Amino acid sequence: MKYLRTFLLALQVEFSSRINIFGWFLCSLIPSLLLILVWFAILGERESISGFTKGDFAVYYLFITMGWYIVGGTFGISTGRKIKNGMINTTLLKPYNVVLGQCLEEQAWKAISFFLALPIMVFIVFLLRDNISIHLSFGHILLLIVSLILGGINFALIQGLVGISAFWITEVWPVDHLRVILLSLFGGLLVPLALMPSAVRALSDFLPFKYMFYVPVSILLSKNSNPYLDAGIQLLYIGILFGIYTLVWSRGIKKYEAIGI
Amino acid sequence: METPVIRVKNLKKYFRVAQKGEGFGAAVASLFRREYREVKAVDGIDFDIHAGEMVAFLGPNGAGKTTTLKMLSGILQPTSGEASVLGFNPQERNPEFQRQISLVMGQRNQLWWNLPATDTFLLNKDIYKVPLDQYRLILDELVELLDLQDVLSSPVRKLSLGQRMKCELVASLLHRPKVVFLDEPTIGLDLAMQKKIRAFLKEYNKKYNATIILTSHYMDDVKEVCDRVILINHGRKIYDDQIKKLISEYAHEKYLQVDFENEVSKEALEGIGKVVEFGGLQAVIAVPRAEHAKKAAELLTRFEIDNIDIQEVELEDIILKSFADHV
Repeated sequence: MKYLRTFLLALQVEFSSRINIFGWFLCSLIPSLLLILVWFAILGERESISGFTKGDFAVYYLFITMGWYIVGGTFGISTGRKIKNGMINTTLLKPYNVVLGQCLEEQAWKAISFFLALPIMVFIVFLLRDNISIHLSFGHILLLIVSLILGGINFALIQGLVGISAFWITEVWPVDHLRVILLSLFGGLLVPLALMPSAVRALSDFLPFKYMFYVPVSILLSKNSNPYLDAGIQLLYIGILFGIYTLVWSRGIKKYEAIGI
Repeated sequence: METPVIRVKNLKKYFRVAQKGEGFGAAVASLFRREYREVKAVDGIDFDIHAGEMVAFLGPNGAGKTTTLKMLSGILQPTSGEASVLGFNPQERNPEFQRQISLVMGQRNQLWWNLPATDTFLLNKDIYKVPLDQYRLILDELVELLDLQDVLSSPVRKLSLGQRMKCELVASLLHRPKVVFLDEPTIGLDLAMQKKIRAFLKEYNKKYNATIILTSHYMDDVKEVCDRVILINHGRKIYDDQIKKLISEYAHEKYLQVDFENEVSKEALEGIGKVVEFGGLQAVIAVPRAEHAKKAAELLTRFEIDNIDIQEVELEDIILKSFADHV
């Protein structure tokens, strides 16, 4: 109930800044549209590259733009800043999870962004309708939803780890920047993993990054050979990351200097 | 004898602070070799506090007051030693413990800035699992005591500092904590608001037998709210007893503030006591505490007096004297 209340309060705050949210959405849409245009130009008259057609590229990048509002986020940075400034002191006193609270607060602007972006996305899909063809069974849709949720939890745990790294370092943005690079490289955020060199693909199997965005989008494009296994690995990574998170938090809180008051 | 609600034994908190010399060269050197200094913020303090006590925790800046409060409320982990609050070890941050304490910080805000304070109150209701009917009852009572009826629907950012502080108090007390830590609760407030908050704290203590531990640089907070004082300096406890006892131990004098009918000489007054202030028609004379009545009578017989006031030494002066004695 307390976390639902946090989400509702954050939602109330976000209602007053709709214009900002819309601006951010447009900023995040431009790189995706550019990447779609680049791949369209590379494909030229060709049917596909490594099994990716024009339609697949369009769906891939549009999904990553919209999926970011479900799976992604930036609360690691704000958590890190609050730890650094001692702003978690008032929350640490309470029976309340500081990092989960930050995560829930962030869901508010993500939810509003998602619904504000939806009509534009529908319009873009309408423009690209001749290139796009998706055939999903009910089971696939269900699996996609589960995979998105599991991807979101994996991403949140990584964000949480980025945030609580502030117990040791004063600025968490370099850690977050590293996370962005790793996610772009091994998580298929920049280029679909199927188009990456085999070494990158092999390595990505042993890292959690591809289980955040790439697995759900692959389910949407029906490109997973075994989607149930992928969902199982997503679940496994949640367990591993949660274990690491719990360990890091318990060490970090002992080191916390609670600067200021 | 009743078990103390707060028990502190040899509590220590040491920080490791990176050192850097002056200038750019030192900054470059620190990239390769960093030196650290150990700062003993709290260095082995002991005390017990019983239920319903109102204790002032005093000391100069950097004495270790706030660090101690942070350890007692579970925000900060001690380097060594033992602390027990309401039978819990604060560092375990047990939810049951957290539901029974509160820390009000004059310089830290828990209220949601862009929303009315009532929204934060509702969140705290959920966090502390306060039943709705009980929440309404407590909120109404606190709002009335603090005279907050008119500000509850305005966004926090629109409130004055005093109004915000009062809302902070409500947010911190909605779950009726048994132990309340207050760190500079009246800082930056005007005199009228300071008075209201002091009266409120006394009322809260009386009504719920709450234990209150307060740090403040305003001696009026200490005098009006607390019965007992713990003095701390360089992380060590230097005094722990009733405020009255501190005054009797350190205030060996009383001040006679006198207005004369005619001008008198300073030399003539020196026979009465130590002249602290002198202005011809007015003077302040320090006299031994035990002889103040006799000295006042002597003044009245030897000089033509318009008015005479007998004053206690200020608590600030007593505390400063106490610190000086222990350095």
